[in-house]
Amino acid sequence: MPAAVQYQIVHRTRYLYEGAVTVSHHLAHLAPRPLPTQRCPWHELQITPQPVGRSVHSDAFGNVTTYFEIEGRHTELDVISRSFVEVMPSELPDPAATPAWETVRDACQAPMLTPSSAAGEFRFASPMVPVAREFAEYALPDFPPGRPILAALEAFMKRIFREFRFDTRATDVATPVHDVLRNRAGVCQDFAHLMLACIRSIGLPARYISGYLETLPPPGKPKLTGADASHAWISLFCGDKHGWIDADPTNGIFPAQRHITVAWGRDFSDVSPLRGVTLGAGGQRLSVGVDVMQMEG
Amino acid sequence: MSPSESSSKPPTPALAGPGQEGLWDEMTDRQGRVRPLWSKFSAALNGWNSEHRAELGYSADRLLEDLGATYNVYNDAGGAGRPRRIDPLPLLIDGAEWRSVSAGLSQRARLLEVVLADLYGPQKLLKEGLIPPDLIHANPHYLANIRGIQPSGGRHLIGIGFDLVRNAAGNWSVMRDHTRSPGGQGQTLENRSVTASVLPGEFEDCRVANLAPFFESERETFRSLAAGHVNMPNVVLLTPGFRHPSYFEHAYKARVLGIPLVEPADLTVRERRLFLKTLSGLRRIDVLACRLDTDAIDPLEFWTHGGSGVPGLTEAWRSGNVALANAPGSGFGGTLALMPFLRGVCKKWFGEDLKLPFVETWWLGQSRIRQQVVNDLRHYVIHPAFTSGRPVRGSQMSIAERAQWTATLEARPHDFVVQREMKPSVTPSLEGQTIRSRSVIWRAFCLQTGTGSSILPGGLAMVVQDGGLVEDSQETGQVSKDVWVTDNSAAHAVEPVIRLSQPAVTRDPLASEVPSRMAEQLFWVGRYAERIELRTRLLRTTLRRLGGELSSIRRNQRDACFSILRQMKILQDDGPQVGRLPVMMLARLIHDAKYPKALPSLIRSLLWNAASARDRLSDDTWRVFNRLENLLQPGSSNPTVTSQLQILDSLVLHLAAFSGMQAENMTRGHGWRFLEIGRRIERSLGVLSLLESTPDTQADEVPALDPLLETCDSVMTYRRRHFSRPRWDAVVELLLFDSTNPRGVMSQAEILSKQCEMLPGERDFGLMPKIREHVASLVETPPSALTVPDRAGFEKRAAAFEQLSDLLTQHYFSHSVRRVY
Repeated sequence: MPAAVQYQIVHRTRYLYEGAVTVSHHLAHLAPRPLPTQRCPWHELQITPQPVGRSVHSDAFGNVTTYFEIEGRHTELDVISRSFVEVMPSELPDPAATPAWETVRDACQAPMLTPSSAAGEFRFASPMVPVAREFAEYALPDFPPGRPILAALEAFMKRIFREFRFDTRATDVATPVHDVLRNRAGVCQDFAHLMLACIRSIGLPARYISGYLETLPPPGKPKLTGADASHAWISLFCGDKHGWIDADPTNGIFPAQRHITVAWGRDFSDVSPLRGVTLGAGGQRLSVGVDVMQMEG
Repeated sequence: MSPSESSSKPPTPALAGPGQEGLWDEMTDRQGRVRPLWSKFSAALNGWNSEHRAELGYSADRLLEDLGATYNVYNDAGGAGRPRRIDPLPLLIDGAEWRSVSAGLSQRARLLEVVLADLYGPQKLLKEGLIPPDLIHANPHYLANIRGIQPSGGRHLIGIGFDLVRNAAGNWSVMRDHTRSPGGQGQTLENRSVTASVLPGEFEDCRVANLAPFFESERETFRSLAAGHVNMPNVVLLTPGFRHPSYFEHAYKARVLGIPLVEPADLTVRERRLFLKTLSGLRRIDVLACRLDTDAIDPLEFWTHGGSGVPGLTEAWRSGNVALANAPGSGFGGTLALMPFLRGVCKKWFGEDLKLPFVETWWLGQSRIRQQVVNDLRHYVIHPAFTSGRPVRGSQMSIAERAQWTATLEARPHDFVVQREMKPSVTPSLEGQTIRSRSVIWRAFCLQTGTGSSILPGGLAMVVQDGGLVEDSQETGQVSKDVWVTDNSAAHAVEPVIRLSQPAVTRDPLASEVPSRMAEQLFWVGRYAERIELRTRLLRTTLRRLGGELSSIRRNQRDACFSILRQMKILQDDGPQVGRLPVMMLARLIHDAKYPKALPSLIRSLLWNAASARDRLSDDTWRVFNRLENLLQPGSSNPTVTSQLQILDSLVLHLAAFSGMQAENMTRGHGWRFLEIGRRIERSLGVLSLLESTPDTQADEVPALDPLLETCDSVMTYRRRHFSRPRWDAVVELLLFDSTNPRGVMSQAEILSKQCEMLPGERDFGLMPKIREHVASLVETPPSALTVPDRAGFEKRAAAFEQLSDLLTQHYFSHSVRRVY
């Protein structure tokens, strides 16, 4: 059994505005949330210029959300998030021991609130994830009748990994999921949204996870894609007994100790790491740098 | 028999006779006897001859038009701006019946509040199985983002609208709840104002309950929502803007409540508090009566691609620094799918039965009922449960369509709600000269005060159109009538008509503040009004030289006018006018709505700006504005000089009426000041542009001078000074330097100098020193300037006025562009 792994994470977001901005309002989802398999003993957010209004609240999905405002002319915004995170080992259940996927689907429709029907919240369309027949048709070959849900999840995740090309030029933040399916290319956010659309289109609840991935290649293993930026993957509800199980379609693996969860929601729009509305003229340049460093035990 | 079939009855002088089979007739019972409630009104109805009936309808339409009550009339695209209509015959409701309905509505309001508070909070209703979780999970109107927020003011719902129908048995039942915002109150007030005016005797006889106390109570309720015990809380009404179909209603409501009408761009959040941007700085807002869709209130927290709304508003509300009425997310309470579950919640949580029945409604996700409904589809109307979409009537389906729908409902039952198709009661309705029976829906309104509920004794009766869907009547029907609750209790009958056009007696602390955006719009109202006037005068001057005998003087003057029109680029030689009759060319400049240099597009710009500043302009001003566009409707394809001159004369008089009202009736606040400054800048620019465009100024006799003086309305002044034929230098002197000529540039500069001294804000702040210095230079007349300038000289002067316009814009009006990422 491997031991807990400790990380120090620095996530820096800089906006350079072409014209001066007079007022700006922001919402940040940058603090890693506590989980049964994850602890975050320390987190700080350093914002320049100094915000005038700042507050922290827990959003509807339990994510730590920071609201801040900057007043007065400024041409640059610099947000540095520093976190110390400990990820505990976890074990996946035996796929054969998980319930048939239809059983989970039907349990989520219960007319009364149960753990399953509470998860049901994540089986409908959301602002960036449509539900449509074409997505169901893409998913169904991996979800034959009676197949245990975890086995189906693994097969489907690996198929996306095989059939889609990682290409940072193929999409931008506003590319619709329909285009991603048609072009078979995109980045982690696109694959997560695509996988959510497919899973929800067959009636299963799945949520979007925003987080980080440790990218130092372990000896003898290939370097994983998704370095130097925040990462995104999904989580599928696998029934009351097994709960939520994460899957990373960008890398075709089940996240273990190298994935650090920050926040979850219905899709990216719920958990965008740093969202902002500025008042001022001109364009802007964005630079993001993420460093995930494993601490020596 | 369906409601639509009633129209096939032959027109009768006034409606009498037995009620129609299967429908409740409001006025007569099954034996054809007039119900006691209607006896007086029915007698009056029978006494009217067809002329009187036609006159009634005409007067009502006219009054409504004067109120400016058309939906989205300034929509440039056209089409969407169909005027709404009023049927002056009221729907009568007996006082005792109203009280019993009220009790039911109060209970329902209390119930909806409890349901919203729970579903946005602990969600016990889901755990107890009283409401299926899918109803919130699948519902885009349920806003997961705001779950867990305690609404400031302690409740979600302040105003609620209910659509009621009376079934064949004579019972009122609820067809729909409107919990986002109670739309239709503005219309209700307009209808009351119109109906009470055209039927004063009947209004008195029926002892109609007064609407005013309800709205006074609403104003107090808004104030009471302010957090932190502010003495005089600031309340504003937030509208999406004048392009919204209900903009007029928002403006009307704001005026009745005596609170400012604002748009999202007028508001800003600073340090998690909400402020109104005014000319004199930021003003804290405590309570927001919100008429925006919830997902449009805040681009930071709601994923709206347009980026509209007020960034940070949700946070300000979350922090308890501003109260929103109704609370964000409240619209969810009106979800049709929720309706069948309310009965159970009422029973379990209140221990009460619903006092007011509701129209049979089923969410097809309820498997228990699905089969039964699908087998009986022809009695139901199918609605999409969670998305917007037109309802479909089972009774109108072909066999094939019904089979198709049955399959759809069985495949995706969760996506649909069905409601039993209703045949609402009928009531006399005036159509032209005829009175017919028409089905009505009664929209009633409820206000949740701090201590309980208050129901408006009246409401909006929506007339269902021929063959129309009951559910559609508000969107497409647009014929509505007043609801008279007849009440003998003295308390309600003190004052027959409430004075709706009067603003609230209490002086609002914000009343004298002018939002920056509104100042900008008024500035442009001034500029466009003046631009239209000068353009109209120039066209009139030209037209006057077209008809009759053409002496050589007149011909030269006519050519000079056309030369000016070309020089000013109003007429363009490469346009399609070339080779056409002069009168046709001018007619195009008067009527062609598609030609940007023509009057209609200038008038549209004027109205566009005026529309957003509606509540700063008087009703009389709007009467003038409402008629401007109609004046320019092309009358015939063969315009004559005389007909065109009549139109332009009329236009000049209307514009003079507006400037007269501005001078005589508008409060000398900063709003007026910006309108005045805009007007003066534009007039200077207009005169300078005319002078600059004058041809042949070096000639012995300048043919353009007479037209020039006429266009600048300075003929009389000139004659009084000079007893000779006009000379170029004397005309320039009069129009440019003579400060006693009210049409001259110098007197504009002097007015600007005086008004700019009184502009709001610190005198040394921002661009103010520059503005003052600039204005001073406009008034100065160095000796060298007294010589007649050449073309470049006029241009330079015009540039100076343009620059003043730019400086004011930079200093006072926000031009920032918002970005969302």
